[in-house]
Amino acid sequence: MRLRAALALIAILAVACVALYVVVPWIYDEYGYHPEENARSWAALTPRYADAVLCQRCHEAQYTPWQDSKHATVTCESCHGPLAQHAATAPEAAPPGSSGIEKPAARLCAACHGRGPGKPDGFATVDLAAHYAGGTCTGCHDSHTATATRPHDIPHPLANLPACVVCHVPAGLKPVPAGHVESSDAVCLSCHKRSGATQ
Amino acid sequence: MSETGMAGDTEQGAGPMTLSRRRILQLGLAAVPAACGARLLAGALTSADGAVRAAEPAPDAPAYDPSAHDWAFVIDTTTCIGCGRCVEACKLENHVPEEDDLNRTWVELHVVADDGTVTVTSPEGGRFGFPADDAAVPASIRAAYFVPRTCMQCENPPCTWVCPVSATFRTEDGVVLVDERRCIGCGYCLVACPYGARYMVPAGETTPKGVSGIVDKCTFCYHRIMRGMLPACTEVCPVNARIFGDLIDPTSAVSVALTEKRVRVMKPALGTKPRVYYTGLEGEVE
Amino acid sequence: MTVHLAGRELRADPRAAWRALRREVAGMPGALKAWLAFLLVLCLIGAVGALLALPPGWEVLGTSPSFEWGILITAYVFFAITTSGLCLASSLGTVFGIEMFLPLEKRHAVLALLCLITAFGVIALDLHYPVRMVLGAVLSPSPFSPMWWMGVFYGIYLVFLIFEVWSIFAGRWEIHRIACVLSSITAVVAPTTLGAVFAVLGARPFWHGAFTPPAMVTMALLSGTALLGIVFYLVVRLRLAGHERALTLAIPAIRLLVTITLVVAALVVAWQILFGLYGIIPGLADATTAILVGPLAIQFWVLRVGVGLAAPLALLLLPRTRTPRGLFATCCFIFVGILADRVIFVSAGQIVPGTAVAGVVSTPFADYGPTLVEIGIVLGAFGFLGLAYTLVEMYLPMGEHLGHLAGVFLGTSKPARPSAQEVTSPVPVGSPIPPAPRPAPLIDGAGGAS
Repeated sequence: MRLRAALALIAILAVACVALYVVVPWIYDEYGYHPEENARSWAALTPRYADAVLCQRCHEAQYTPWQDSKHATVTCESCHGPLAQHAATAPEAAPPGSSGIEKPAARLCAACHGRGPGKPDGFATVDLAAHYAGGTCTGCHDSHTATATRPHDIPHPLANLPACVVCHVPAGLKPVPAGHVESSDAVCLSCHKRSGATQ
Repeated sequence: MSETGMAGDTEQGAGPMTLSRRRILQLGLAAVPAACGARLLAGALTSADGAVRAAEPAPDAPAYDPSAHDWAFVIDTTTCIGCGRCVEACKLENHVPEEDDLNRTWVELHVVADDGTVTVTSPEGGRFGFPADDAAVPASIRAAYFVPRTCMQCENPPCTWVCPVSATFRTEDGVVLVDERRCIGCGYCLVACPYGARYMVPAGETTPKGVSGIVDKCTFCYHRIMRGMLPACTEVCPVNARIFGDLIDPTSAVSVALTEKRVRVMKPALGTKPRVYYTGLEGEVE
Repeated sequence: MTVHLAGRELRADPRAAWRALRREVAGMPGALKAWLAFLLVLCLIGAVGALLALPPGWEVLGTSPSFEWGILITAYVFFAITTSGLCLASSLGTVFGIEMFLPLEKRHAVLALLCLITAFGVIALDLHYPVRMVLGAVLSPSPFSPMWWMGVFYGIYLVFLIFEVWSIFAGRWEIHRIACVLSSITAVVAPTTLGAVFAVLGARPFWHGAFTPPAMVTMALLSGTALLGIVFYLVVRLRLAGHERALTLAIPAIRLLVTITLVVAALVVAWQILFGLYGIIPGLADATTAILVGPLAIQFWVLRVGVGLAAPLALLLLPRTRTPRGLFATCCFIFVGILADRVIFVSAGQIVPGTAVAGVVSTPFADYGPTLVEIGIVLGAFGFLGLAYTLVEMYLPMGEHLGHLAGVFLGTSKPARPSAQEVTSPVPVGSPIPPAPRPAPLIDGAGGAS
């Protein structure tokens, strides 16, 4: 009797093994143990970052100078975020300002060019606390051409003068341009100083 | 007395474990509806558990032969500027949760002080760069450099060995993927990974395939490399610190870099054989 | 329809059942009512925690990628090793036929089954997709994964335990003997696979190494024996079924086992720490430092060493405390110590990550704090175990069956028929077993209703 029980047990185990081999694909449908299928299924996802060359179609004005600039290794999407959908859906001649491209935040420039430990030698960095504080990066720098224009030198000496805003009121002499922060003289002078000018 | 045993029929001297032929036949016949029930149950439960049935590949994806490729990375830490564009790109490309403590790839700043102690920082994974004045970083520095980190896609991956349901596997082209239909969320691969590459997707967030509560990790942007594109992090790196390519192709960027630069891997003693090679690391980096 | 339970007949309609329940509760002594109420409160806390933890991925656990295995895993490990230890301890009686361990045979089986069910319940709440685990382990198995083997062996162990418990109450002694052997074998192998789950991870130097699985078995034996000591002291104290032989045989047997295992466990703990301090293996010295003077120091020195090792050793050594009550105190301390030990074990492996995990640099130590849901689930697990075992002790016949069982395990040719004499005097080890006592039907229909 014990032999019969043992034989029955072995028979059941054998049937179970065969069943697993045959029935598993059926039970798990196409989910059977075939990981290649899962690997292939990743192709269903849509990339969100595209190739920069697609930007050239519409944004020639920025693209051409960019290609020869020092920022040539910085692709468009590095600053402007994922653009695959924009490249696929934006109309051919969108009016400027409504292109749907996100303007990078100001701190983006600092992420690369802020001076700090770890930056490789030879890479252009600035100490942001001391670098023309009060202005914006794009006020002097063009990120597409990677060039900088120095602020104008001031045509008059700076000694014994009232505060800048006394003369440079919005309606007065050489008015303060829109977008300039109206604050103390120190802020104005952080950009507008001729090298060697006395305060 | 008749034992209340398993025998349907009484037999001479029946012991407690006698099985009659009738009983075996009954069990066999019962297995058929049991199997049908199991199939329905498996289908219902795997989809009730949030598994996503794999869609057909998108029409624009060309036929991709995994056996024709062997992907690898070379990361040049002498060039990395710690801008964090790669972290941002990965987050946006791969639906990585917004939380700053869940990243598929991140950048670390290693600072070696004058007295030799090493400080490692990674504010929000380095996504927004590194602040110039970080209290954690010592003042007098002997050396400092950035180390981008990601899943190493090991040839001998501990995560794959330990998964109890074979949910994580390595493809023929060298990428370790997670089968979102099979993962149970036990976290064994998380504790097994020596490089900290994996994280659990919390509620409110999903993997790119729409599942919550399972494991996610860097996939070398598998959906991009299947289309012949570069991973998102490599695409946006402004200084070409990340070099990605096909080891099978001797002219690829990675093959060329491996011949030109002296590389090493992290934690070689564990025998994981990573596929991400680093150049420029100091000896203290594990 | 009527239901037979514990020799009584109950009508199975709701009103009659409710009335019967109220009569039952009214007839209980006050202390028992208070104990059951306390356990019910714990179970309720656990139920609330379980409901909150069920939706996959809900952020109710305090875990993070740097510290993925928290107290739910610790509780699972604790219950899993306790259930293994219970079978290990009583296997000395059931498998090897050492007579002084025989009184353990019934209660250990029930306790082991309940502990295992508790363990599975706790781990099911930690897994985000527990049903997939069962399906996946069968349909896409991974023989290289120690966790797969752990699932297989604890699953088999569950089956054997079910047979073992069923065969006692159904009077099927042959099946019971075979089931005891099989479950004792599995009770040795299963905690080694549980240890292997931790031991194969090269990334976690504190867990890594061949030493971890045997250490797990040692702690299993200690934990199981301690739980048996607690239960059997209560059997003696409350004069539950079989308390005479419990006092004369089970208590000394448990004392013997606890003493030996405690000394071995103390050596295991000591060498884990000493080896870790050598500092040759990267990360191991940091983890050991975390245990000795870091965030785990209080748990280690106060709970593990003080309560879990030093106090029980003192109680076992001093002549004044070599009483059943002293053994009870010893076992309670050991039980707490083992729980603390598993918390320390699971925490120490993760507390020094050795790398940034998913972008988070944890220096010097990774952070983890259990949430209320996790604590609730663990409390509920203990409450469930206590409640289930109390009900079993109240309503099922838990006394020994000398004629049947002793004969089967001690190798007399056939299970003897019970006779009407009660055994009241202590039985010296090695002497033949006198005929079994049969004062009242201990098991309905147990081999006697032919």
